[in-house]
Amino acid sequence: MRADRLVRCVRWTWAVAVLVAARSASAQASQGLDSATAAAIAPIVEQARAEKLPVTPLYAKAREGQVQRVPVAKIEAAVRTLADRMREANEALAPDASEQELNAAADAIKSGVPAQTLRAMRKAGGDGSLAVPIGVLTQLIARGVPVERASMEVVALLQKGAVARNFIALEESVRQDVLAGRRPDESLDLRLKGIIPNLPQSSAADGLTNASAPRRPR
Amino acid sequence: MFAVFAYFTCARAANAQWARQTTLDVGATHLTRDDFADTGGGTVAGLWSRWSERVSLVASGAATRVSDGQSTGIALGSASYTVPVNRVRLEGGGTGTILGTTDYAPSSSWMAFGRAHLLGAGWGAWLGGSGGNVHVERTTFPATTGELGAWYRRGGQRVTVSAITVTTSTVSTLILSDESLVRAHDPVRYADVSLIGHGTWRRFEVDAIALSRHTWKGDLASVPAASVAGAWWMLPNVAIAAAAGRQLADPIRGTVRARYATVALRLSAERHGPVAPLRKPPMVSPGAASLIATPTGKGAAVLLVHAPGARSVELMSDLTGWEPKALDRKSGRWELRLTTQPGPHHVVVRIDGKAWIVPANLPRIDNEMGGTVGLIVIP
Repeated sequence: MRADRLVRCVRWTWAVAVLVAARSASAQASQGLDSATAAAIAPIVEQARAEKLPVTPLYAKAREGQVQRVPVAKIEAAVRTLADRMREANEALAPDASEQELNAAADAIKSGVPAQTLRAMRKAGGDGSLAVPIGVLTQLIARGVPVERASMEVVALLQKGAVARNFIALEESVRQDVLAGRRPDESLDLRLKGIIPNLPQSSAADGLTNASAPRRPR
Repeated sequence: MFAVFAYFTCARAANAQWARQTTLDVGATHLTRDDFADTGGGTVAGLWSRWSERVSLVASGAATRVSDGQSTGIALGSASYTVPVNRVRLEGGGTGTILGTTDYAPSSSWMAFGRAHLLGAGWGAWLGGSGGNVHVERTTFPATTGELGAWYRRGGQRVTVSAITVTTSTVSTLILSDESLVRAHDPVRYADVSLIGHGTWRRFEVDAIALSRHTWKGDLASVPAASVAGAWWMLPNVAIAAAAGRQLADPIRGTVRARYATVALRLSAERHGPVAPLRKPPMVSPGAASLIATPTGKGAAVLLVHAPGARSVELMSDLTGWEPKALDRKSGRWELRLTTQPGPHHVVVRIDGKAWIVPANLPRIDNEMGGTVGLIVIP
């Protein structure tokens, strides 16, 4: 009887502590937002929190809008769209996507990267963080490489064991080529020829044999 | 206490970015002194050093307990402030030393110094002097030094040549037949000419000193000496350190002439070993800016901006909570150190307080609120 009471007491204390901690975190994160913006995004943040999505990027988006003096309605719409993309990214990168990965994937989805590509990246990248590869994928698309082409090559690089520095070097090379007047997709072709021979070729990842990965056009 | 006060005062005054070195050595040593039998024992030594472009603070200490039960402890501290005048740096400061040995009264010294440094690209030269008091065996006498030196650095290697003249005294204690003590001052004047090399190769560091002493006055021997010390960083914060050589008597610090060999485990608060070299941000035309990020380990990164002709550079990003952060100017580029995780981030910069712009080398993306931001990926 006494043991039951003790267990119940511990559970209540734990629940109250979690609630207080969550409210405290929310209060800290929303610091820097004016009351109108904070109130406008509060339901979106609460829903994201209930779905175990990270809320820091949502606050950051709101803060970005606020410092640019964007109307509250526009900020609210941008935060809602971001939450939707993070939800989609969370499903694609399941089961354990980090905040950095979801943030990166939300940008990628905005750039037109399909959820199927994110799933293929998760499969190809194993347990390693995908934040850098997804970020570079978005950069390549922003530089003008077609979405399908960029997606296919980034997945292929992951399958061949490329690491963060390989992706960063690839993006930097493409930037230089584009600046020199080369077409972005041509540059990507050229630079991959320089990177792929130096990667640790994994036996299971020779080429795009993965059914879930985007296929190379014939 | 003084060091802490100076640290915060000077940091505020100079708005400084601090470099730091903090180590603790625990090991064994073997000593052969000219007037004693060989001894061996345990030793503990610590170093705390902070420096910026203008301020330098160093505190170090060592304690050795040898097999005959004797113990020696030494503590050294120094603080200096540097004022830049074109290519010349004028440095002023002070040093203090306290040395204690079992069965002997402690000795100490306090010196004020001034130096003028001439700095070039990868080389430097200095001229300086110091003056103060030395307290040994209950007597105090003055000491002055004059110094001239130069250094040359290439990558992780550095060579220093210096000549230091010292004018001070040594103390001899005579026990008379009636068992009374008489302490006699023996003025000394000598010059130490030294060649010092320092090298760093990935996880290995080595320091070597060759020194030649020329005594004009007093009973200090005119002899050469040499020593070498090395450390191998087997982990970023743990090294095996070893040193061996001969040290000459130092009347100002109170140390005696001896040969030594030491091996120790070195713990460091800072990471050592190979680090990713800082790349240069791409060149851009005046009025524009380029930005790159380089990880510095332990979830930190340095953001480097190239902005020719800029008087001030600020950065705003999700990395800064969209708060404007002023960047520090360092040897022709602007930099900001941040704690962050690898991944993509949105960023804009502002030059000389004008409009916020996207760095020219970054891809631009729409922020869905009518604005455009740069997309940088931190590796």
